[in-house]
Amino acid sequence: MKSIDDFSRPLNNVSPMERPFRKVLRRVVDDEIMPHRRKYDEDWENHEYIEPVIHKLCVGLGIQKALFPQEYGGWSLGQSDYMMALAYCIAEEVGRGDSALSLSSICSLWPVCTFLIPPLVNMDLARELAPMFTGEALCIGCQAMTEPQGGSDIENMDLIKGKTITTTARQDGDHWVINGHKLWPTNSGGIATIFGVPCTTRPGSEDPNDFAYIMVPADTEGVTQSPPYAKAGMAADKNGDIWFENARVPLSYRIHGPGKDALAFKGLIYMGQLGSVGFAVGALMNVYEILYEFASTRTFGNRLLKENDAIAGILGDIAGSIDICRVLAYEVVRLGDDRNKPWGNPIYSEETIAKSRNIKEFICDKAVDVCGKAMDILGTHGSDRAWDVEKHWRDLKMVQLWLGGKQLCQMEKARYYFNCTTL
Amino acid sequence: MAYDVNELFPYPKNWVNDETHTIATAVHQWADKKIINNRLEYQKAYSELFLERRRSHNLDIGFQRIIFPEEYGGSGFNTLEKTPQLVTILGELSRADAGLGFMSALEYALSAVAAMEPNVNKEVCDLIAPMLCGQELKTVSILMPGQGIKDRIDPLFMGRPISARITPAQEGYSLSGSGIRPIGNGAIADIFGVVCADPDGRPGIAYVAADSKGISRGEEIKQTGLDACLNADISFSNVHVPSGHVIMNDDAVRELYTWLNLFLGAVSVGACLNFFEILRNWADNRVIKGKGLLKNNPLCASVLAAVAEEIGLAKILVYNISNFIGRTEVWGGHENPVIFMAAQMFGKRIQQCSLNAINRGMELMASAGYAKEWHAEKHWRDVKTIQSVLCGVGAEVPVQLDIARFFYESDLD
Ligand SMILES: Cc1cc2nc3c(=O)[nH]c(=O)nc-3n(C[C@H](O)[C@H](O)[C@H](O)COP(=O)(O)OP(=O)(O)OC[C@H]3O[C@@H](n4cnc5c(N)ncnc54)[C@H](O)[C@@H]3O)c2cc1C
Repeated sequence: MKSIDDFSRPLNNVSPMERPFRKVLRRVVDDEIMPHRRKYDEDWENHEYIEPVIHKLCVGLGIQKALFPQEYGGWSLGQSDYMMALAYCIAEEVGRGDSALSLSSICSLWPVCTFLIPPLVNMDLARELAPMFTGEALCIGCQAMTEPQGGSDIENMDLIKGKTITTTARQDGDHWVINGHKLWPTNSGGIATIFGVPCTTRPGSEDPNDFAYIMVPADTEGVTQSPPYAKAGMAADKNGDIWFENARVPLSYRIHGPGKDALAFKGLIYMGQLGSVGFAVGALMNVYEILYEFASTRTFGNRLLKENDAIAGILGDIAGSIDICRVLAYEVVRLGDDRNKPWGNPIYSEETIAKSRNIKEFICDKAVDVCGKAMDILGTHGSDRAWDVEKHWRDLKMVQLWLGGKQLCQMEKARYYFNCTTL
Repeated sequence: MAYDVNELFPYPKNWVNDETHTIATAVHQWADKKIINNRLEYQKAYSELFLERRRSHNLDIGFQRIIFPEEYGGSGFNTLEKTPQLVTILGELSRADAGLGFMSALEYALSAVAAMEPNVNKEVCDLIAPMLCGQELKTVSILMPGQGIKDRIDPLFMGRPISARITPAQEGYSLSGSGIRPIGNGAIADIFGVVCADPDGRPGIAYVAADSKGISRGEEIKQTGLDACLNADISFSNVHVPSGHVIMNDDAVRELYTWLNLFLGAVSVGACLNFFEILRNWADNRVIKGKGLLKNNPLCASVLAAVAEEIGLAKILVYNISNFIGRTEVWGGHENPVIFMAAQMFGKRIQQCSLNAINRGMELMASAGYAKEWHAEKHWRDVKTIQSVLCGVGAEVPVQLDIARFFYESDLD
């Protein structure tokens, strides 16, 4: 009998560590997420059921320390040629159970990617922050980029060049003083331990040297978080407002300095696409499992759904789409894991960002379609939360919309492939 | 600039009479005042306010009794040419809240099969009219044919397995069936409309009061949307149904499908019209690229256009189905198979258009589209729920097979 493990992926490109790690993750998902995930929607404010699983993944399995150097208690994953493959594997496996849980666990590391992935490494900052991430306490990182006036503009570095950022960093002696208002980032809503904050040292400037990325611990005086927002889905991810009012952090909390901060931030966009395709494909694989069960036990015209030629046609298209999405997702992995190879490009390169955005957009569009179609196959059971397909449908819509949404992906692609200069 | 969403999206206004225009305007204003302009309050205390709003339009304005003949205390909207009027009213209700529209749509669909001239079924009307024309709020649930279970052979209605059975019993029938999923409202219904089959496999519709002996309800189902239309699986254990409460022919089932496609189409379009208003507000105010309005960016404008196109098409299609049904002098009423086919074919497209519109519009609203605060996501969940339950099972396949039977005489049974 076929299973989710029959979907294609390039086995020649998989880290030896991945197989056992996948197995462990699968067990956690099957035993600790699947049986409880229907309670998550109502748990969006309190995280009574959600928080213990995030703890298990981040602290128990060690995800939160993975990128830190071994000498500071981590796994030095940032140095590995299989870093993206392993990150993808986590996103996909946990995403199969709950994409928001996967998002929340992985996004904890998102801000520290800016200084732990060669060539953009800041060992001093790594040493400084390692105790937070490598200890036994849950440390929740939050990449606080989006601002009230718009998330896409901030991500649209090639065109807008940070000009619209209103969060400011002012140097005052040996501290940065941060002021501004961010909203929506994953792992905000009151739970963040530390923020990665894209900001500007000269408001309105288009000079990349004026773009700064500064780490701000959540308990810094002057930092306030709102309670989480109510959303259509993705309950395991808390999102809210964050206000920085004269929040002071040491100068060393700026990740690199003029110029390099902007590059590292672009690298984050790639990392965001990598996570997104992982969440989407993981959820799709679960949709396949659910459909398999449903189509093998329900009938139309007194034949099993999967044995009705027309319905089988749709099922075939769905499975085919999932397979193609997974192959494409591994291309995003490859783009990142080849970063140090002679034929590769840094994750902040124009090519890597444009191509990963393209694939993310494609996979997300397919994922939303597939989930919607799967709900219709379940018919009167499609909107029933007990079958979980609708949960993936609600969650994946957000994966499609974040990171600047579809239009920004379209613009980046056009710019890259057609050398557009004014978009 | 102020605008009227109904004026923006063209539809054959001449099919809607002055009386209905007046009612629709009143509902529109009621929706603005009581629901749309108070969305946050409405969201916070949803269950209580939903009930209160439902009471106000159903009982105070009288929409619950509208479809019944005047001799039953109804408003006499029980002639087929009134169909566009019902569509207009349902659209306005659903613009406020698709759940309100959905509940009325199920009531109208089930009642229409029994109450519409020229085929008024007196015995069924005697059962349901006193409930629906009274002073208490009543809820209707419908159990359609849909999905069968492995290793069970069911009687079929155009391929769709029928789970409920009736067998002749003293002065009527005995109705049985276990764990059947209604298309909505199962947990709170006062009246069930059950598509069932007799021992020869002939389909029909049984009208059953929910307090009849032998009916049990399963646990409340948590669902994607239509939060207030609480559903539950229903079991019937030898429920006695007087013979006059069963309409025993497959034309009646076809007719029920026709009404459902029409009325639920009107509900989705109504929800879309409010989604349009939300999106337009967003597009009028959101600045991108640090300077221009989102609506003035050609790429975003093209997506906005696609949203308007989908809604415009869906609205026209709803009115067209109502015209097919209502213009009996041209189309001959439900006996003409083209009516059933058109309702199925266009009904499917209406749901697709509606969902496409919201899906694409949400793209442009990004996080705001996903936040409960903006309400766009509720329309999205409600419309998707309607689309899925209307499919029954197997996505669009059952309807595609109906269409193939009609156009190509495909032998698919
Ligand atoms: C569950 C969830 C998790 C999130 N996680 C994070 C996170 O971890 N960190 C974070 O900072 N933010 C996060 N966000 C916010 C998210 O990334 C933003 O919502 C997103 O980037 C879009 O920004 P916006 O909502 O401000 O919409 P806008 O930027 O205002 O965009 C509105 C629309 O305009 C379009 N548009 C924008 N620019 C252009 C252009 N140049 N040309 C054409 N069209 C354009 C967009 O595609 C979109 O359709 C999250 C949001 C959610 C819901």
